Amino acid sequence: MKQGSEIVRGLASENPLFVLFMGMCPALAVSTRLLTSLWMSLAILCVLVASTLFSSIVGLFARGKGARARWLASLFLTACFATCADLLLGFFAADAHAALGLYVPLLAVNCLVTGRAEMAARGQPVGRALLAALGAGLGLAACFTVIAAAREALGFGTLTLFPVGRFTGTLVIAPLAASPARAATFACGGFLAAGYLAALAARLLRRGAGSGP
Amino acid sequence: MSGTGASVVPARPAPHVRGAVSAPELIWSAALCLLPASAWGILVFGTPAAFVLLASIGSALVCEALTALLRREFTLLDGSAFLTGLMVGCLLPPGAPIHVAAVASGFAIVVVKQTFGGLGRNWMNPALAGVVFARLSWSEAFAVPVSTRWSGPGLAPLDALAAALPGPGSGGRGALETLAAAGYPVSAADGRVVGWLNARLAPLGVALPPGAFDLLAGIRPGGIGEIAVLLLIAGGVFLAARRVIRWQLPAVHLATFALLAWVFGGLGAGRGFFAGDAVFHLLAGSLLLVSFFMATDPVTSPLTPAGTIAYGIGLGAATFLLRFYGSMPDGAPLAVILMNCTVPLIDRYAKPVRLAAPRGGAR
Repeated sequence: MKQGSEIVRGLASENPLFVLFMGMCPALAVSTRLLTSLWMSLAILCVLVASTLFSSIVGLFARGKGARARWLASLFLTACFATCADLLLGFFAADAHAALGLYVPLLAVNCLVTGRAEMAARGQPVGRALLAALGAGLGLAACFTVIAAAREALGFGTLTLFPVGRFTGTLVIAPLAASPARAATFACGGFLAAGYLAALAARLLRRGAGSGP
Repeated sequence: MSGTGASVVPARPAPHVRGAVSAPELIWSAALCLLPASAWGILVFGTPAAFVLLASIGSALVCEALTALLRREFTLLDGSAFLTGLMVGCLLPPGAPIHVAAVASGFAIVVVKQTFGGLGRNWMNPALAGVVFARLSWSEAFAVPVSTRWSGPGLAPLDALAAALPGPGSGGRGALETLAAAGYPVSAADGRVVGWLNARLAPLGVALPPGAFDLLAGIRPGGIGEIAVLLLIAGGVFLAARRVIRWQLPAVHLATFALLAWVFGGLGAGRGFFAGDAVFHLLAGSLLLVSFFMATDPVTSPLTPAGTIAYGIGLGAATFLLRFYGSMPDGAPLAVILMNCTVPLIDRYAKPVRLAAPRGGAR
């Protein structure tokens, strides 16, 4: 029950994007295609979990040695994992890698990853830290998917998924594809989609809590 | 309750003194003053213009009714939705597809106005935001060549404005000469009037370029409601005289823009300083429509006289920069949207003079 609630918190009441407004930069910049944002979600999730796990170990060794050594080691490890994610993505999904550009290496200094890693390094129990990282990553992935689906459907009139068998991987929404609202794919479209979804999330969470302001 | 005796503190520096005139009266009178220019647009462009106006107004009314219903209100009679729809239609070219007009209006009402709480709570002019959204999304709809009742098909309205900008290829000519050299059509009436005037003016060494009469009379490709410059000026003067709008705002806006266009506008053509075609740029594009009817929107403009002056100067400078150096032609709608974002800041610094110090000497 307790362990499950860590993941639920990341998805709902402490959702990184819709409640804490962390991870806005990748959310706005790369969530214009569904498939690209799925790859980005996977990269964030992996970097987040790996960095949290190793930061917990760093925390064990750095206890009593001051914060700076801890920060440096933690940042170094996070940068390693971000680089790994970047190289692996370039090997397995070259198209998505090209579309994501600088945003995967930039995960090294992503505030969500840094924050989770610091929590773990400060001595949060390893199990809890991992579950919280998993929850935050899944919460972010859910946000990315919803935003990207909305922006791609409105801005291109398509939904890009994996090609399976005879299915090319791209769903075309005919009336929208003929005359898409391209502004949805610009930064303003990202802000609008994120804003509306955050408002919706706030309303749902307030209703779920039963009472509120 | 504190010792000062005031228990209710207003959350924002809104006007607290109410006059005898209600908001719907102001809104409907603004809409009324815009109708002659719209009618002229329908006369010049024919039925396509009427369909665009019908689509934008109809969509605005339907969206307003539906979103207000969510709040269990009925707000169509305050005129705000009608005016927004009319403004959107006036800014769109007559060749715009119907669905573009409808979505532009719907975006204006649903996203820009009702999302933030409806009339009086939006921080950006809905009509302009809707049109800019449409222009970003469907730029091809704005690139359709338009012919008027009296002159043949020319360039698309915005392409014409871009072509008239002083560029390296304009060879030191003025804006209208540049357009004429690009094969831009003028009406027969323009040829007669300009020829007659030039014959009279010849002894003075002054010659009007072809198209000068068309520009003033409103016979040119452009947004449906933006071409009738004389009707727009008349409407603006009427609104200012009735105190619906503050005359200071368009005056400062247009003066700043004209000054900058005159001083720096000729640089691109290699004509040096003080050689810009200020008169052309005042009359061309949607500048007059936007300045008189949209920049003066009381919801999205500053409250105090000092703030209004600062806002007008900012508007003029932004319009100049966006029109002469921006990537989208015209510049006026984008300049107002940009300056709308600064209004809360302007209102914070340009406070009215306090007539009496609060008791207790707080702050």
